[in-house]
Amino acid sequence: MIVRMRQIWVLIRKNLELYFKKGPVLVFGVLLPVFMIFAWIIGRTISPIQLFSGILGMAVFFLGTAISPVIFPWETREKNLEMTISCPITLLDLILSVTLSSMIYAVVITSIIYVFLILLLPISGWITIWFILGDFLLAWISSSIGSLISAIPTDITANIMTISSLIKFPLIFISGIFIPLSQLSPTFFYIALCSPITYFVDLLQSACGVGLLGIFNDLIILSIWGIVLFVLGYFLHRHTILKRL
Amino acid sequence: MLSINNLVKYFGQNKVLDSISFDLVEGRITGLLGPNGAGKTTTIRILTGVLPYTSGEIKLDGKPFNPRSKEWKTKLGIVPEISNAFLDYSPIKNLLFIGGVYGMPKKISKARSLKLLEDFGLIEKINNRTKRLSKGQKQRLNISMAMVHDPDFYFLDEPTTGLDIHSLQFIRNKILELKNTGKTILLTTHNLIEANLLCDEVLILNKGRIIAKGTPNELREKFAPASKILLEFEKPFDNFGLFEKLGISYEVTSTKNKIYFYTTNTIDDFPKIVELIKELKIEPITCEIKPSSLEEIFLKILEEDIK
Repeated sequence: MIVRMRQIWVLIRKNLELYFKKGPVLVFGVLLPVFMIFAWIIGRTISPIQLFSGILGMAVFFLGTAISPVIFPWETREKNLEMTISCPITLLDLILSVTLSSMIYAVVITSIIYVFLILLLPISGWITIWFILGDFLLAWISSSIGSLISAIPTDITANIMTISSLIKFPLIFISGIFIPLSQLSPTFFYIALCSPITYFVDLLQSACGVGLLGIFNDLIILSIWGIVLFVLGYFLHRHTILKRL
Repeated sequence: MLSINNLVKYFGQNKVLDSISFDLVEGRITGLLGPNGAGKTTTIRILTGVLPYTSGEIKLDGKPFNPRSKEWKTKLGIVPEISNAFLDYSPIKNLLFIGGVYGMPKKISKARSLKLLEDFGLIEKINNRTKRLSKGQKQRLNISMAMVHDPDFYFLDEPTTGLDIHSLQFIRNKILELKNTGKTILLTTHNLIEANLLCDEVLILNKGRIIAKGTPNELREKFAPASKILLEFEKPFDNFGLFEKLGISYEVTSTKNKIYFYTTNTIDDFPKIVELIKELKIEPITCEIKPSSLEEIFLKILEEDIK
């Protein structure tokens, strides 16, 4: 077990060291959310709690989906994937390491953003524990979405990033980031429930006392999303991995 | 010993390996030769657990096993034709990565990696990015990556393709060193000279079937089209017609100073030629028997297989 954990850590380290500053990761994980956040907040009156939960929601989601979709197509093209598969590690370890790398990337950066927001906005630091739980869960979910999309057996990273954007943007727009759940019509409210980001945003809002679904409901639903997406990604990769070789 | 029995592999409806059987023996280099698309890389991918096979049996020391198992993979060192090292990693990081995924303790992995970089002449490039290395240096790195965990079996997929003579010689020597330490090696190559130099046994693969196997000498004896006897003269020679009475087919080079006799019965024909030379009182500067090259044998076997 210790050897296996060490092997997974070696893979995670490699993913973080090699991919954190790759072009697609910086563009889709850092630049895009920065511009989206500016476009959203400049010239608008937004309540501090909505601003706080919205910025963090977008940051976690975009950063979480930044690294995981890139690794499989990139390493297919560079022939590293075949080398990794021929090493004594399982496909599960491989997908776990990809998902965890992207998750760690998102958690580390959003933790810094969180500290800044706590210092700048009138938000109590008591919600930190709920933020940490939600941060890990949404980062895991986002990373699993990226990993799932990368199961498409292509070696062209741009193709995966395009498909990734097609899925990511609707999930952002239908979530409760831009308009609070309480202000949505019944139809849009139910649509918003289809995005995992909604539950993260509601978790932070509930921790601040203005949420709608409740902290524990949000945590349970986020956990279910995390499990379902990871398992789905694993089975899809198992189905397509040989087509990459 | 690794025994492969009736291995079959289909890609969809396409049969790419058709009941191939062979053994890989400890301390020996087995060469897998064949034209493009013969199934060499597929064979390696199956034996290294990258691809599943359709049917057949693979045994290690007489016991069937799953080549996709972790236990088997820890015994393998794989050298691909095209470098698969991480190009943005330095050579030392690539080696430490391999040590890590093979579960080696960091201290041992680091010591072994440094020793390999020293042995392979890459110590000066230790912190350079792999993408900055030359093709020969990348291939040296690939071989050292395959050796980090000191495996028992080596699968080398055309490891010398496209290398300069210096790197070629270096890598061939390393392969022979591995053999001398008792490692089991499967080498695929297009280069028949290389197969002749390195391999104890050669398997010739065509369209997924093994169409010939044996030592290079056995294949020569069995399939050699004909031995050549060469007579070379200092100056162009005019009376080649004099050799017609020997009844051996021959060919004169365009420079008219060399004549090749083609014979399947060297023992009887060579003395006849020497006798005639004495009789004619001519003095060639060279008179030698040239055995068929592995290249000629290879082409002959492929020709026969097509027929």
